[in-house]
Amino acid sequence: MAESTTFERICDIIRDNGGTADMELTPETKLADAGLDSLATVEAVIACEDEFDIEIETDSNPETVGEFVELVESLMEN
Amino acid sequence: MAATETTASAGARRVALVTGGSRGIGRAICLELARAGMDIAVVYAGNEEAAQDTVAAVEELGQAARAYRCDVASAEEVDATIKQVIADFGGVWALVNNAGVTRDTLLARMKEDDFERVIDVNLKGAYHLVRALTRQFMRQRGGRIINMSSVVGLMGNAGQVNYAASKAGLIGLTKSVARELAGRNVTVNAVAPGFVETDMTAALPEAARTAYEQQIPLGRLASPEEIAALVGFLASDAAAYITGEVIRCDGGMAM
Repeated sequence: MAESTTFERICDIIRDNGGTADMELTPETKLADAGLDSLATVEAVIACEDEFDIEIETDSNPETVGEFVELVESLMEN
Repeated sequence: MAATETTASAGARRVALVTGGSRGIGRAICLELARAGMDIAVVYAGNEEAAQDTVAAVEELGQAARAYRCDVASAEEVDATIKQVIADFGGVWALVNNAGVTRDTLLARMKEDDFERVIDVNLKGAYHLVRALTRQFMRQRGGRIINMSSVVGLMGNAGQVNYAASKAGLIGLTKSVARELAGRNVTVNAVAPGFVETDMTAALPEAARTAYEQQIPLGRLASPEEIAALVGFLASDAAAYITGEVIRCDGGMAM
């Protein structure tokens, strides 16, 4: 199986933390619609930090899946 | 510093961070948690010698310890201290927010600075520590936060508007953080001591001391060890189902 893209890996984390196992996620999907309330968002952020070995600023506030992926990718480039 | 690193794995090792750990109730808490098998990060404001005495006493009990100088009122100092503690010990299982100051005076004479400094250390300090460790607690899916409140936070006390406000504030903080972290199996509780035998109360005139004792149904002040025993229980596995609670340890004073 081909290596998952960053987008797919983040979608898996969002589904895990949002409790939406089968939900189809697009970059436009709002995190709130994917089941992430504020605490679950923090938990998804922590899971991404562990998954990608990055540190995400506490005041970052992505609203959509696409913004979340962009945030992680920008930190991975550094 | 006289710190020793243990070789125990991070999973098996439990570390307690105690603010205001150099003297009084804080030192007794350090020793109680060390007796329970925890390694101790002793956070202190200024008394290096007392902090090192606590470290040495913990080491005599066979646990690792290290002292960290930090003004808990400063977010920057707290963040730097937490980074160092995690680098040294690998994590924190139990956080005890015990650091506290008093600037007692009647409200009519209380300067804004007297009010702010007490709030900054006693209440904002706890906020800084909890915030700096939140992610770590969420990651480890377990842990204990114990905030040292006071019966004064429950009853009020003439001459302690600032101190009572800070200690009452800690109760609101405790219950809110308890709700936020419950899903991650982290318990958060407050302990409300009454009058305790410390350097602070030893300095009281005999008449004031007698007056205090008359307000206490058990008729005497607490020893620091009696307060520490309750903290030890709350930090233990036996207290896993207690969260968001405020427990008085006051000889019946505030019932």
